[in-house]
Amino acid sequence: MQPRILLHSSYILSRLSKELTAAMAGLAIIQVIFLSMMAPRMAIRVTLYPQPGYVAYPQPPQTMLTPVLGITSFLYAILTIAIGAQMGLELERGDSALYLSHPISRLSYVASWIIASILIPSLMFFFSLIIPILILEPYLLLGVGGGEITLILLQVSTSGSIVLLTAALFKKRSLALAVGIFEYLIAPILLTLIAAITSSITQTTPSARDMLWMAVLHPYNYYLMFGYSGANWVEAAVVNIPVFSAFVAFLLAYTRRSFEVK
Amino acid sequence: MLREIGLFIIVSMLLATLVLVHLPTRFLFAQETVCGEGFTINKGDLGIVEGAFISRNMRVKLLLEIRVNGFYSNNISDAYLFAIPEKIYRSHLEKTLPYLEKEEVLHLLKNNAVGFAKVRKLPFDRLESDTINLVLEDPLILILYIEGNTTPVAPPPSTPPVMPVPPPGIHYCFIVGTKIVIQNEQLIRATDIAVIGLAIFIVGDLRSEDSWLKKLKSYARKIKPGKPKQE
Repeated sequence: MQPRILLHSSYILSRLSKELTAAMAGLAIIQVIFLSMMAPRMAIRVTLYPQPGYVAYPQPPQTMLTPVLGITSFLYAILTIAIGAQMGLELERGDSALYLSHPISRLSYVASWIIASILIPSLMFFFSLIIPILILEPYLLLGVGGGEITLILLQVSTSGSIVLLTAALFKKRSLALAVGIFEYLIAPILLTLIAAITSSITQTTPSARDMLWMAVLHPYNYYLMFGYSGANWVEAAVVNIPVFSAFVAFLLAYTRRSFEVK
Repeated sequence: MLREIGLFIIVSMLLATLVLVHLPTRFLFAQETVCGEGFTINKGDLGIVEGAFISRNMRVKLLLEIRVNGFYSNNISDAYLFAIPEKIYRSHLEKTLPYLEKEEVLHLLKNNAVGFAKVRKLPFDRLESDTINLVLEDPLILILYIEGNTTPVAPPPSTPPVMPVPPPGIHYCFIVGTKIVIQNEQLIRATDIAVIGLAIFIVGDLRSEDSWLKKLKSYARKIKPGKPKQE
């Protein structure tokens, strides 16, 4: 007997299986084409043979997957946001009352949406990236930094949790969708503009540490923008994880205490 | 949910394999160049350049070349490009080469190289090697071996000087082409992943309440032709 959370997650996924499979196919094709083009460059490292007196300068962090992740992460984020917003639709139309009236608890209901809208798309994204690498050449995994993948998963998961929270609070799909798109696509541009204007007024070039606040919601963007000035992916993850956990904890707490279905 | 995960794995594997098999070879090729100057060992009649270091320890096809300029190619009687495993080079060649005669150096380099190519003279004092084609299995060191007059010669003065003249000496660029070859081993790995995906799919499907396989089985039973009625 499967737990009810998993049963309901499976039900959500089976309803969305066509869309998910199409998205998976799109992700897989884009990832494999870009990875194939980048693989030969990732496969080797060529340097001058160190001569006496040679001083090795610290290398900037390797962000080999950036061209691939830059494109496919949008698809992944949109998928997460769209599935998360579906909960808003269910609450808006009152379908959720059917589930909540008897078979599953409120906590299980929201937990199953967390699994279906955050965990499963993350797994899909991970598989679509890892499987082509495993087929092409497993050694390439050694050249792929785990930092980039971790940060993009965290960033999209944070957006997904914000969308679910909005859906639970306001019970409107359109609002949840709008908040998700604003948070993932527009907010990073606005925050970058604000940072640029601030540094222009104060006539200072911000260091990676000064801009760490960007990693609160957008750790991957922060790492990409400030990787060359010493941004560390572990720091970005450490800043983001408590915020992501807080959103999820608040969502679960809100659901348990004051989740009302009209 | 396992069923959906299995399905994702199968879809991803199928598409990855289809794309890789049909992808034009030029997409699987990249080229890197590292340049430097000066000999590591220069005995006057023999010069050695310890050039590029290629690592990552994975199986890819390599196309290795060298281009040299700023050196009077007329002074050169013979030249080679060698690809030598790093372990062998560091363990004994690096220390012994400076103390050997040129015939011994050439003999030792040829014996220890996993690949080597003759370097040709080109117009305008340029040198270029043939391409070495090999599979990278261990980290390699590329060595340029030059026989002839290797003493740096200043270029003839131009009057009036119109642009800064680089110091006399050898300027070289090692060109490393990497090619990923799609072979049976990729297809075997794809099959492995397909089996894992299929196993997850079947287990997940049989555990779920609306099993697709069970539905397929009952559908197959329905359309199974019955025994012909005996008249």
